[in-house]
This record gives sequence, C-alpha cells and structure tokens, in this order.
Amino acid sequence: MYNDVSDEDLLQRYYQTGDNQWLGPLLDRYGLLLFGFCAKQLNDKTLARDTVQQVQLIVIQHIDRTRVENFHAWLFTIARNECNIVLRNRRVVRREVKENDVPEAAPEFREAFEEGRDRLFDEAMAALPEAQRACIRLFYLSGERKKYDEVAAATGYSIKEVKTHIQNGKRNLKKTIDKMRNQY
Amino acid sequence: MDNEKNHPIDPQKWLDYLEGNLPEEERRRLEAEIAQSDFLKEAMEGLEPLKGKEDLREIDRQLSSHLHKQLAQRNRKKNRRSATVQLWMIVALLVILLFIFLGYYLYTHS
Repeated sequence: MYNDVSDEDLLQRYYQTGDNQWLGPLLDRYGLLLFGFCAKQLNDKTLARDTVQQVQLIVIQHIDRTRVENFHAWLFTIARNECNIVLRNRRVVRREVKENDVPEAAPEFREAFEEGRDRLFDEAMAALPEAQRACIRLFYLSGERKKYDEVAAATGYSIKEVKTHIQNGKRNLKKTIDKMRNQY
Repeated sequence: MDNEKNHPIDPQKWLDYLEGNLPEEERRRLEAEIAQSDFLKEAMEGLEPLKGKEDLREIDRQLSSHLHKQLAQRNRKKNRRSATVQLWMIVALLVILLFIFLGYYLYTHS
C-alpha cells in the first residue's frame, strides 16, 4: 500500500491531517532496513530488533514537535543515536562487571547474561575454566544471588577457593573481553 | 539521498533483492541506491550475514505488527485527549451560560 507515494508526500499528508494512516506506511517501509542498520551497528539481532522498535516509538512521539524535511536522513540519525546509546550502556555494564565487586553491579550483569545480549560477554564466559565460570555464575548471575558460603556449598569448593575462583574469573573475563574487542 | 524521492523504499523489493529474486534492472537500480547512501550500505551490511540464517520476512512482519500496535495505542491516547478537551469545553460553556442567566435573573429582579 502507498508503494508509489514518496516519503515527502506521505510526510506532507501526515502533517496536514495528523492521521496515522500516513505515518504507518512511512515507518513500515523502513523497518527491515533499520533492522539491518542496527544489526550492523550492534552486532546482535535481538538488540537490533528492540532498537528498531525504540526508534519507531521516538519517531511517533517526536514527529509532531519538529518539521522533518528529509525523513530518511532524520530516521537514520535517530537510529544511529539510539545504537550509540545502546553501545554505551553495554560498555557501562561491562565496566561494572570488570571493575566492581559490589552487589549493585549484579542485576545489570545478570540481565546482560540472561538475555544473551552481550555476545562478547557470553563468549568470554564460555572460555573461562569450569570452576571460575561456576563460581561467577552462582555469585553474580543466579536468580537468587548467593553469598560466598552458599557458592562454596553448591560447588564443593572451600570459601577461600570460591573467592580465588571469582577473582581469577573476573580477571580472565576482562582479559578475554579486551582481547575480543581488539579483534572486532 | 535524492533517490528516495524518486523511488520510495519498498520492503518487498529489498527482500527480493536479498533473496536474489529481483530482475536484473531492478537489482542494478537498488545497488545504485545503496552506493549513494551510507545508511543503506550499512543496512545491507547488517542484513547480508543474516540472509539464509534468519527469516527476514518474518522479522519484517513482526516489526510491522509491533509498529501498528504502537500507532493504535497512540491513536487511543489522542482520542482520549480530544474527548477530555471536548468535555471541558462543554463544562466551560455551561458555566458561562449559567453565569449569564444568573446575571440576567439578578438584574431583572433587583
């Protein structure tokens, strides 16, 4: 529908009527390309899909407040900004994982892990020795975060060993993620 | 960017292009568009690796369906807002009329 109508015409009709029947097709035609763009920027298709939906929402909320001349350029600028925000947030999560041992860092850590949103992080976790991976998973990522003694009870290691595995695991995670990041 | 003005984006054509089902002439036209736009270039670079691995038509359909839900939600909000404005206008009109009648009544009976 409206395949022969240009972006400018659809936009013009939308501004004249305020009717979403013109905005819908305009956004609809860019969905797949936006997805490709975000997938390229974020290197993650789940995040890319979420970001496209966020971009569409921003357009819906802001298009009345500004007079858009070039919809294509405006849309992709929003997409680029959103991708940058997602990437920045992801870096913050990683930094907290790497630098912080405090429990506050754990929810973001867990979220990134559970949703499989951070491929580098997943790969770095997979590369850890089993003992370190198990301790980090239980200490930071399990639904009910465990204390040192609970991790020790669950894994069979002593509390001292658990602490060592977590410290070494975090150091190795940092090293692996840095190495992988340099490769990308 | 001028190309978008002449040839509106058609997702169906882009899907056909990615699946290699586009006639030669159309394919060349799209490739010329891609060459002119950094955004399209990046979009293609993001879609190419997913070709064959992901059902891009399904992704497009899901995005479209989500978009229409967002738009419907916005329509509902807009309608609610406009109904509220109308209600307040009626109330204001009634109050004004009441004052006019009251004024008239007091004026004629004093």
